[in-house]
Amino acid sequence: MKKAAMIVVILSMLVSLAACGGANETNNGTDNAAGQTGQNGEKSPLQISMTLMGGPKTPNAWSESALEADLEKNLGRKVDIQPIMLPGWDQVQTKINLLMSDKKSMPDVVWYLGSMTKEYDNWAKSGVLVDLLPYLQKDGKNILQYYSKETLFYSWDKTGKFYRLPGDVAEPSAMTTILRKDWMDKLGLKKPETVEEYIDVLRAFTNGDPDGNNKKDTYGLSGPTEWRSFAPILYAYKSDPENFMVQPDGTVKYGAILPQTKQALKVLQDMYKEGLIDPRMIANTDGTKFDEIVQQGKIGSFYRWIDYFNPSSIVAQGFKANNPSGELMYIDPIKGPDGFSSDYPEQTGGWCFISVTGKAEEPGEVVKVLNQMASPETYKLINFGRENEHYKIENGEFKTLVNPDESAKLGLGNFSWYISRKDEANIKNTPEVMELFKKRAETSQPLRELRVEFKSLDRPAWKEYSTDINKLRDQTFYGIISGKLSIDEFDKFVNQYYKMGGQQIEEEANRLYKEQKKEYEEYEKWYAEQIETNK
Amino acid sequence: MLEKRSLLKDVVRDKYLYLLLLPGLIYILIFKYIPMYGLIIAFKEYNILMGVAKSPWVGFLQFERLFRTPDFAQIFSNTIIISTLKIIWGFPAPIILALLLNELRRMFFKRFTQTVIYLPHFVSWVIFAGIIVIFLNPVDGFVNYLIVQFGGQPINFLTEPAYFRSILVITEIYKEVGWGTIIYLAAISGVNPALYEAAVMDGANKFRQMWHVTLPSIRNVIVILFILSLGNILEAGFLQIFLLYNPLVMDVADVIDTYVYRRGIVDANYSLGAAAGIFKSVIALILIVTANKIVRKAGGEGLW
Repeated sequence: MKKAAMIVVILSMLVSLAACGGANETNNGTDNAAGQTGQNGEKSPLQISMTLMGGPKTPNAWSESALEADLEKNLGRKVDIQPIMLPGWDQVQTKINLLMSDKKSMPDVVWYLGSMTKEYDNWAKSGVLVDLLPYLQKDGKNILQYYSKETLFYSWDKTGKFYRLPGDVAEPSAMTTILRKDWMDKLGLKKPETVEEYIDVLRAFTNGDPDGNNKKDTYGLSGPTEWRSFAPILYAYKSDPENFMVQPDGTVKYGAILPQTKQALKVLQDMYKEGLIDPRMIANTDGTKFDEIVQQGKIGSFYRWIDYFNPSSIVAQGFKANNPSGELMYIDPIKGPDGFSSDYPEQTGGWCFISVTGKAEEPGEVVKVLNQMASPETYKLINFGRENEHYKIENGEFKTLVNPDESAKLGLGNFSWYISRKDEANIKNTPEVMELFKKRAETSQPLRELRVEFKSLDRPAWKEYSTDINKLRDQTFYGIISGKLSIDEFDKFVNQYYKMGGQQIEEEANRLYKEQKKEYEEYEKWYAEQIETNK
Repeated sequence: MLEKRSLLKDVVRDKYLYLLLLPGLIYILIFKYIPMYGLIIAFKEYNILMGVAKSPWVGFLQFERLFRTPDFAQIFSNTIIISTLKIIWGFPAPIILALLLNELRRMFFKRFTQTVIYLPHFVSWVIFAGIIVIFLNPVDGFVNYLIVQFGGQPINFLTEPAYFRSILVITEIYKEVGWGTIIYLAAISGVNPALYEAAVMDGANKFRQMWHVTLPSIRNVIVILFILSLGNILEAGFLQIFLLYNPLVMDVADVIDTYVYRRGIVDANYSLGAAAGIFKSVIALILIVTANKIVRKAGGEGLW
């Protein structure tokens, strides 16, 4: 039996090897063909293999040849892109590790997940990755100008080298406080600015029968069951229960245990008791379900995506279809008792990265290619196609001219997350939405400054204790909001937090924060010398 | 035994039967036995980078971590309570339903009913949980609509610790009861009709026939399925609970599996997750072996 098992195992290994071999062969096949056609230029064509994760993953797609033509036009050299399509999300990490484990299979440019810190560390230390700094200084203007200083910090290596670039960084803030404008007008309410005014508006939404059906079936505040849904109250009170926050004395503390969180919870408890909060909000509502709730049009306010204001948004279309006279509006973040206000800041560092490996014979040329891909024109070309052929812009509004099938066949989006631009080059945004993104980047700054985004993922104490602590946090906080627990339970939670390992978590966080601050100071100096002058 | 037959002889004689068995054996070997190699990470501090073989040994540390968890007592008792409730209410349900179905006289209606009650089994928990949440939600759910129509106040069922376990048990029975009748119906159809005729001669009514003929005839099947269900006592139903629970009912709903999911998978403590898995399996094994012994002592036919 053992023998049989061995045979089975060996056979399956052989099969998978054969599959890999097959893939390589086809790749080589295209190499040769490209090599022969490209001998007209002075230099031999530049061959770049890159791992791709986004889009429809169409092989030999239009987007690929369009990119090659665009690169040739702009760089004056024939470029042959050899895409390596990565498998699905559950296998992508394994596949990247396999590709990177051998010089032969290594791609010239590797795309990988931000969670693969250990792999990245290994590659950087073993000299597999190319330091991009000199090339970026020379030919990386688009990239260096697009990414902010803060973002690039999370790609910076302490030794002053630059082994990776962020592949995709979300907009600094993608969310905003949203109100029903038609209800506001109908009830004659004025735009709320403070927590009291906001609660008054919610009260009117709940009790004033804004939909005019003589039934009390509307709610003030709703949202999916997650803490940022309560942003208009929580953030106004300077409370972020999910992150470490910088204290006035320079130390950092877990947001959930801060006294202002107690104040905010008390406000939310009173609101819930009064019926201003949708009871679905405190349990079992995920984002998808909430999108349906929005479309039903029975809620007055929620903290959700800026994208809802793009006419192409599916939620916006569904909402309009169900509520022809309904209209949504966005407002600036609500001000708390001491005047503080902030929107939800997204992570600054990026969630995926790209590196150039030692396999690339001409890393400088590769950086030129990446830099060209990061230019607004090329970005638009490979992600949306040609204007008037694949899409058109009408009154500043993006309209696609290809159906999803055709778009997949063209391979639009194949090169996603290779320095994704979230500015005007992302033409799916209307100018109004673009403006709003910019505004929210500013209005989310206060919380961004208070919140700690750890660069290091090596947090053993957090890993050991956070599951139990966060369970107790959610139990206590949702219990308080729903009125099942008294507000005094908050103090018990704080005591319990320190007993359950919060002490160790806090020490670890403070140590990391200090190290990171020092690192950031070094980085700032380095940035001023190396990048600022070359932007 | 008159003649000691060698296994080889057996195999040669029944080679085609063994050939039929082979795919099943290979399947079990590849997907059940070979992966057991990974169990050793329960005794290691597993590190993705170092791999299974190179990660350092830590003895029983992972088990200690598991038992030292502040909520371990609560999680453990939740698991036992929920699955015991499911066995108490859920185990007899398909037997009763099978007995009732067996008495149906119109073949078409019987088949139709069977098909309809099987259906929920094929709906995944993800969808089924979505339906439950929609039906029970306090704003526009159907159940609360009825309550309000009769003049009551809407109830947020899924956030009430008092209701949560009942919801788990009821929805589980609703989903699985039809599927569970299959084995019992098969067993019932194997009962010798002569026994019923004899019972009728003795003046037994339908209920008496059920009690004195059908049930004793399928007793073995019931016992075997009961033993098997004991083996699942630490499986309170991960998907169902995971999809329905929320912070407000954690006290009554958090079970070993959901805890292991949050701590072991989401927070990447793989070794701890493996330790919890072994802990559960050992308890299940003990329960099955004991139950089997008891049944055999009492004169019944056990699993082996």
